[in-house]
Amino acid sequence: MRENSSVRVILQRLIRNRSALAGCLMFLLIVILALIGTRFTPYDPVQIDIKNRLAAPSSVYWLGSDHFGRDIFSRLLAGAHLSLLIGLVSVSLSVTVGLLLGLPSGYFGGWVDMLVMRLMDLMLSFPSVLLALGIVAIAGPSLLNVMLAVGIASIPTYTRLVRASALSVNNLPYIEVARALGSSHLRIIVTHIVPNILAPLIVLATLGTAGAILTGAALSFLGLGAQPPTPEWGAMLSEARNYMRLGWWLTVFPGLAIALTVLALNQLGDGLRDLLDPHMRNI
Amino acid sequence: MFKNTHQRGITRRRFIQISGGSAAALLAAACAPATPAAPPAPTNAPAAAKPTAAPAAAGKPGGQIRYAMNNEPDSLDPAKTAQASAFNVMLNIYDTLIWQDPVDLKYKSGLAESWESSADGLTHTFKLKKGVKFHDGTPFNAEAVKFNFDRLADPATKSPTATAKLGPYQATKVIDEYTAQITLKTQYAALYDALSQTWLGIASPAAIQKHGDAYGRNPVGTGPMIFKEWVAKDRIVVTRNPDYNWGPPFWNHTGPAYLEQVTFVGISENGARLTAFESGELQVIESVPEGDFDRLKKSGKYQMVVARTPGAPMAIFMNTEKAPFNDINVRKAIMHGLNRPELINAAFFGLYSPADTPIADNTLYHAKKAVGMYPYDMEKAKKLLDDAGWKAGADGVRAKDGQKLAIDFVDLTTYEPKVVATQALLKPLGVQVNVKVFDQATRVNMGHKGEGHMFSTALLDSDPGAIQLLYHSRNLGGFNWSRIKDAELDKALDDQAKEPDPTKRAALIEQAVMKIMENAWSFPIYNFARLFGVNSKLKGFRVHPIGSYPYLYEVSLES
Repeated sequence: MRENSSVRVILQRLIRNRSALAGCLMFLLIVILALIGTRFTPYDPVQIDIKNRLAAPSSVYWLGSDHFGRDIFSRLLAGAHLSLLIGLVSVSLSVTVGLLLGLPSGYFGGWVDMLVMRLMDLMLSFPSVLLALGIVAIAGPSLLNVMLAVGIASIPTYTRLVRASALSVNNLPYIEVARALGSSHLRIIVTHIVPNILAPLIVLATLGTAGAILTGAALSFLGLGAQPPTPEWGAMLSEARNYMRLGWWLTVFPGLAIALTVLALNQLGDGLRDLLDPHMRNI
Repeated sequence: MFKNTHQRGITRRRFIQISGGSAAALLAAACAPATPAAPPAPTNAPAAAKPTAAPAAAGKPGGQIRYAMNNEPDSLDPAKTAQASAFNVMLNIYDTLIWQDPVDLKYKSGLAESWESSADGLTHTFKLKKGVKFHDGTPFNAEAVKFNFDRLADPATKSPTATAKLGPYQATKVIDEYTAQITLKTQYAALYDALSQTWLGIASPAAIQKHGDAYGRNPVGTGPMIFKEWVAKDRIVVTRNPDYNWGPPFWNHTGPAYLEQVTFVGISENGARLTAFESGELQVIESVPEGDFDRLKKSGKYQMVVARTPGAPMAIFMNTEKAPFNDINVRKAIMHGLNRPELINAAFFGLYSPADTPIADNTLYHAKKAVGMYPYDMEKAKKLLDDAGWKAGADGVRAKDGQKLAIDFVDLTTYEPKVVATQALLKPLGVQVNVKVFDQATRVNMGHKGEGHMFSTALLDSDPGAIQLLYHSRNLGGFNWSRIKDAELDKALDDQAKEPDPTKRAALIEQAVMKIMENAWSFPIYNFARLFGVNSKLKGFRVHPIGSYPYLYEVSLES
């Protein structure tokens, strides 16, 4: 009963929070388009068609065609799932590692904490984009490496959040009770700590997905990510920049696609933060 | 010395610059030298700059122009630089002993009025023009020639290009004030070609002695333009030489240059260069990106010049040591299956003409016999692969013995459109091309080590013998990217370098070219050209035969 009411409250708040709702709907739309794009596009997204190069947006080419005569809308559609995948895979990676490192660090403290946190400090001493850039440069350019690099580069952020949250929960009475009842460390961590630190983690992960998509696009823009002819958005932008004086649509639409996706996720993340604020949870 | 010239005669750095693109030289290179038999241009090719004779109408003296290159030169001492941008400026400051006529490709008088060679080809005597003065007022004479060439022969000069160009030079003898005699250690077929290039331009001995190491920033020659100032990272200014009256006979006028002053600037960013050009701030720009070239050409507001470069055309080199290209049938299938005009159209807006042989057809001794050996024929290409055992799989990619017909095409980032177009055009053949684009240093290194299946480069040189750099077995680990080891080819390339008789030399070069083509060792794609944008008020814009550099002497500004 209580569960149900809190879900209802969250939904009500979501509907009342216009920008969060807009973000949520926009993101859903992008996900749907990405799913369609893996199966169907109006034109072949990689087929060169020189006769129709640089066509302006029209009823034939909704968003115009690029310097090789490829339909930009088809390419955006076909590339959408890649951007989402970069966000999803990299954030999953950093959340997982963040939990694995942050929980023991916050729960046990002492030398474990010391070791993990100094390691994180070391990683934080590099700007995350630079770190990701370095990792891809060593591992070689590919989409998978970009996902891993972006994921690895944001591990410290999640680890620190998890640790801080665990630390604050750790001294609360219910944990002491669990300890007094003789629960094992693992049980305490899994059943008592994790559920109570999820809220900030979800918010950070949502916002982090936006950041990861952006970093992934940046790496692809630099030629380190998806390789041609894969229509990854950042790579599209990179290819188009040499022809931007020939047609505004070449750069505007891929740019817009990235911007809208990031905007949607940011709005959603902001909204979730408001909703999941612990001070409002028990209303 | 000779060995040096022909082994790695062009230093790696120079090669990169001329063949590269990133540094610009190749990408931008030049020249409307004679195109004796112009190959069919792709359908939407704009009229390429034809090797026009100098316009007869006299230009109006006066006026100043600003000329943008894509980088600032490192030095204006011809002995100390290997950069295209430096050549660009030096062409105006220095004269050479002889000049190559851009129309008939013959050598014409420059600072030397006439010359003769001994029967054995080892002694060359030059009668020099009288009354020629350097910009610092000192007279030009045989002593100056000796001083310049001896300086290049001195290893202490550490010249990146010029010394190699001078070949097996032994000494210069001053016969009298206006007669200089050059002796060679061995025969050197490319001597006259070398002497006609500004790398061997004659500098003022007095100025070199006066400025020492700073000479490169205070150049003094006998050319139509006098060096005025060099503001680092900003501009290089040259002004008209009022005394000039010793230009080559093929220039469009005699006496001083028309333009009063030329300001050279280096702008590496394409967008910035284009914007300044379109706003009228710059009168000449180099290295116009193909797409923008097409756009500006269509606007009809500018003179857009496609300036062909001599040497080796842009060709694809197929690593013969690595499967699948160790099979000649696969190489031949690629050559029949890739539609070059289509590729040029897709990647370069049809601006270049397809190439047929490993030597560009605007170069001396271009081997015509090899033209048309590999016409586009998709059916034939498919059959070649079928017969060689490469069968199409479910995904459309061919395979043999479980190995896919997948090829790594390693190239420069700037050339990505070319690689992507190749990928798309070879797909119907069942060949999977993987795009591997890198920065210049990385991809050159990969080519040297044979890390990859396909590479591409052009070579900018006015002498056909330069192709040895790409095909001689001693350049394995260097620019022999197809990794060819063939004794007969080596011999033909070695012999032509020493052959003083033009007819015999042409035959040797043809032999080498036919060998390369019959074995499908390289796949010539398109004739390289530099793309210039020139303000429509400029008249008489023409380029030097080495391929990249306009004769600003001939240019005048109409109000």
